[in-house]
Amino acid sequence: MTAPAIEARGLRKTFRSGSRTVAALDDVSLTLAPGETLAVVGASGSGKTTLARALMRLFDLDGGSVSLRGRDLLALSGAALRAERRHLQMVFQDPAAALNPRATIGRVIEDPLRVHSIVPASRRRDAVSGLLARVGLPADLADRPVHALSGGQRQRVAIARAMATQPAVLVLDEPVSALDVSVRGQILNLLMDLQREDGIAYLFISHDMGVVRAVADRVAVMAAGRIVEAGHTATVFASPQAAETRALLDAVPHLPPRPADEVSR
Amino acid sequence: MSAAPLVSLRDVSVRYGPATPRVLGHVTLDLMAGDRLAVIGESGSGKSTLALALAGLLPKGAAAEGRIAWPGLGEKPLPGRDIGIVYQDPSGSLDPVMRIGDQVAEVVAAHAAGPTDRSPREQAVELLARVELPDPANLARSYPHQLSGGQRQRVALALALAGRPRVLVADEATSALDPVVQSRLVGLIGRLCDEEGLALVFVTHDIALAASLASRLAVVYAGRLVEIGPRGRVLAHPRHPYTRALMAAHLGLDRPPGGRLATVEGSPPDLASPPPGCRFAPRCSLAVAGCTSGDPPWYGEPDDGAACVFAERLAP
Repeated sequence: MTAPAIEARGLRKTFRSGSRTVAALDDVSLTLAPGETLAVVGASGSGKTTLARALMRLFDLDGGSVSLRGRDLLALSGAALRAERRHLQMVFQDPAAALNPRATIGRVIEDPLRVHSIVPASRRRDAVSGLLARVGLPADLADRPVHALSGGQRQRVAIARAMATQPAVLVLDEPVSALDVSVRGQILNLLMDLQREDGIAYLFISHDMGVVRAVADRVAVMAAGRIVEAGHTATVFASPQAAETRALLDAVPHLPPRPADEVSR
Repeated sequence: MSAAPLVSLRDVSVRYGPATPRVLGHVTLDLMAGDRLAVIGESGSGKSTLALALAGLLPKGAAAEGRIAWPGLGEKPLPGRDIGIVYQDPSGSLDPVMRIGDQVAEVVAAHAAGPTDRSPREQAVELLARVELPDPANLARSYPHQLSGGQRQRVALALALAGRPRVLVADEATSALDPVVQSRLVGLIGRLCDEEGLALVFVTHDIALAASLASRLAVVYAGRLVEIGPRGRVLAHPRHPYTRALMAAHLGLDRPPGGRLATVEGSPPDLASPPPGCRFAPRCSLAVAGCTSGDPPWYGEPDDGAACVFAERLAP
């Protein structure tokens, strides 16, 4: 068996607000194998985004351990942490907020190549073109500003930027929920293609059970900072055990089966 | 049709300034008493503009061509009284430094039809109960920031109902909420419309959510009404390729897991330079040369049809 791409054990985090304390993460553990997609689902405030941020080390945990490709991520600091970070990247819900609107697309994708010294300066432009091609965008887009793009194109740029460092793990925080319905499928297909080609592990944060069912190998359901149910996607969807899982499934609106797409000409 | 429509749009086009593109073009639509109409579209489709036009709430700078009338209301609606509207972000409708109960009471008092034996404040608490907020008497003393997003949206709904409107417009009113909260709010909106005899205009990007609540579906794309009809007909026999694409893109729980997802290539057009002819043609799998040479013909009735040359062949 191969080593997990990322493994978290017993993560704990308590936030204080005045006299109130909230257990945002309460003994959360997960394992993600290379090439696998684990969806973390839950209602607002369940702790799923806190979990994503904890793995990214955007704040200090109160307890627990995280190992990335077998290395203890929480023991690292300074240059060693920065070097390891290239293997763990994140894509946010709203690409308009995550990317500098005035930067050029080339610059946005080039930044991680430069910061992590992935490719020498002389070859960066080719590398940017290659990354744009991988996410289905033309190379001549590199000189255009981010704000000139549509929402779907922006999310492609955000994915190209995250892929630039050839990460082992990509944390996707609601990556399609701000996108138009007609564009959502393109982005999900792109993510699945990239995963098949590169064997990246995805931690896919979502509250949309329809999307989760379409992309995830396994599901973890969170409520009040805890994982209340976890298992293979097919199993969890076929026989949900936790009340929170059933509530999420019941909330998915039903559409009658669609008609055949063919038409006689 | 027996009764006069509450709202009647005839060939309505809207732009938000002299040198700006049309965000809505040539829309003909009637809203009848008791109607539950969903307006389905993506960002930039003109669905919110259509909702504002129906509500008589187009901003001052907006230029509307065509005819917008409210025959069933007798006159142009007084915003807040005849037509209640709930937006996606309730914080825009709520005063952050005023107690919830006072805000609702203020609207009740402003639109009071005549003397009643109950104070605006008492009526405000009743309204908070009607939108199924817990412990309404106590909650009336809270400020907006003390409530959850779902609770704030219920308060916005109470505000919209406070003037005893005939029409409720919900403009992506549940879209920012998580699915469990969203589904409860959608259920509440449906019950309130039944109980109060309200006509509903439910604006959404989610065709499945629309289908769970509305009896009529209108689909807009790039500023055009591309299809409208009774829910059953549209879902069983969609006549516009875009409606079909939206249905195919829905990720429901009955879809077989795995495999590639149905997609529509490209993205919605920039309204400043829309494609010639049918605006969906560049993304349409059925498009033929003629689709880009002129506006597509309307097939069917004004309240049950689609704007597509293939609509007849897509019809059952």
